Amino acid sequence: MRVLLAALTLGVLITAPAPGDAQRRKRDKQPSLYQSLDSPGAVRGVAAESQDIVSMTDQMMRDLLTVPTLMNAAVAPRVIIDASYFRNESSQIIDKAIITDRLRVNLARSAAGRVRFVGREYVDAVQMERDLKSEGKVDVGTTGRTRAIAGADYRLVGRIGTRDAIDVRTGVKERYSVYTFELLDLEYGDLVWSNIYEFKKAAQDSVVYR
Amino acid sequence: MARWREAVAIGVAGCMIAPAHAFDRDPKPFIERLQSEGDRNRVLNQMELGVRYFWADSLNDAGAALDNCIRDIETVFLNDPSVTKARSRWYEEGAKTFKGEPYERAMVYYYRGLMYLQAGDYENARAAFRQGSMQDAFAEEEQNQADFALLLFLEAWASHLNGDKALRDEALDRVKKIKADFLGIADEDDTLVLAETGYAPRKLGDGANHSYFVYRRGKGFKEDHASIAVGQQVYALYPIEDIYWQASTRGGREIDQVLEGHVRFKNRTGDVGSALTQGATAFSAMGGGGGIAAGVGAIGALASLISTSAKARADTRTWSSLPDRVHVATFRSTTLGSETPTVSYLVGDAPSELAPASVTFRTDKRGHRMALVRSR
Repeated sequence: MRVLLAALTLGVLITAPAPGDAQRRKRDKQPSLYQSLDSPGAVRGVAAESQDIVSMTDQMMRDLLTVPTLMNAAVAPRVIIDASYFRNESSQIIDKAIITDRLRVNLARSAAGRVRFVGREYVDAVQMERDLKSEGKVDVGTTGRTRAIAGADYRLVGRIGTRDAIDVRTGVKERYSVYTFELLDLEYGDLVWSNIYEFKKAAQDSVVYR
Repeated sequence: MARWREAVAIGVAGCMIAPAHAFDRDPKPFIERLQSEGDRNRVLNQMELGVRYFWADSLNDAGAALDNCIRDIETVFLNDPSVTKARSRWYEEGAKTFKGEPYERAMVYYYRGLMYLQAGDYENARAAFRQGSMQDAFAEEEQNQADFALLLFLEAWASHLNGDKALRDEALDRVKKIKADFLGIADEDDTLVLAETGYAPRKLGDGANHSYFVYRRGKGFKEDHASIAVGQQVYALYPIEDIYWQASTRGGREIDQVLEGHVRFKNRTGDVGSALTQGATAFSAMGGGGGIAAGVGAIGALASLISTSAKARADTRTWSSLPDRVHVATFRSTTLGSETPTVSYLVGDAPSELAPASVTFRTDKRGHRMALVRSR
């Protein structure tokens, strides 16, 4: 009887479902879901995630709204916020425009006309339309002609930097990320505003990948 | 029972994707495999697809495939069911979702970085090459950590094109620590020629139950050097990287110790099963109690079954479309002139059986030129 019991127990142990099977079945049935932008995603690593981008652009926007030279000028200053001088010197592949676009759009909405934004990255489109107007191929539109396209007073500049470290023994990856945002006076060249957003992330992969 | 069938299927699939020894440029088999082999081989099939699309100049498809690889490589798998299986005694290591060995992961970033270079996005190219170097940092042998000269050189080249001289020189210093005879990048250089030769390193199962694998150089080619000729002028391309060397100097893997434990378990249960079965046979032959002998024999058989069922085989899935070596040279575009250059593949200093191939330069949106060629 004991022999039979031992044999049965061993048999059950062998044929029992693997621990991950139920989890996998559950995952397979999971439909796609909308997630909060400021929540950590299901895909984890040491790279910047959506919540980092949301958090950093919100923080920069709030800080920019307190800069007197920008917000309290008698004439609304013109600012360029695009990715051209926002440099990625880091080890992270990133679409910088996601950051600068979010910052510009939210700042434009919050500044409510106190700042004007120059779309310098679309200068070709502007020039083409001006040329067509000048050549008489199209009319002048409804807002009239200007002597030249808008010059800017300030431009967003900055840098993304990272420092990576790996503990080979434990497989822990660590990344310190620094996002520097600055506002450059395009006439005088001084930096009228600076701020920094930094974070550090660590992740450890399973032993089967080490 | 489903679990048994799955384990067998994994074993069969593992055999089916043994490394090819010729670079078949057709992506179709891998598109089909992507569907049929699912998550477990998704990264592997995307790697194979990415390279094929890359060399076929289908850059959007290549970018998508390689980005998928990068997403999965950078994802931390801790509680993934496939990881649990790979650590289990009842599944081979190949049950895990494939991410590749460090040299394979590094090469994903290499191709992605080259694509960013072609697109004139030097900052993301540099980031990709740096990430590739980070993958190499997982090498266990300390002296071989982050010594991927190819990626360091390309990081320097991306910085050079971006006008970041300090970052370029920093990366070049690191290249020179690994390749002391590398001449560097001249300030006026605006053209990169990069040639891949040979076939990918192979992973061969070794040891009891193939519980670990060894690397062997790819087969079916001899070329190990390359040169570029413009008119009568011939320039040697610098052999910046030996991918086989990168693969084979990685050192032991932590999972190897887990597999070694599986081998010990397999051997122990096998020995117990064998001893009990033989004991029961002998006991029965001596006229012992039939019931006891049968019971002992049954337990012995079960132990033998457990031993047979335990899996200790290492994962030998391989990215088969990688090259054996990579060679580079940078030029000032005026040096090369307007003639169409040709690349020759050499065995040492001697010509190989491969005919010289004409080189086509691609000019990126910032006016820099790049030519990528592959010997086979």
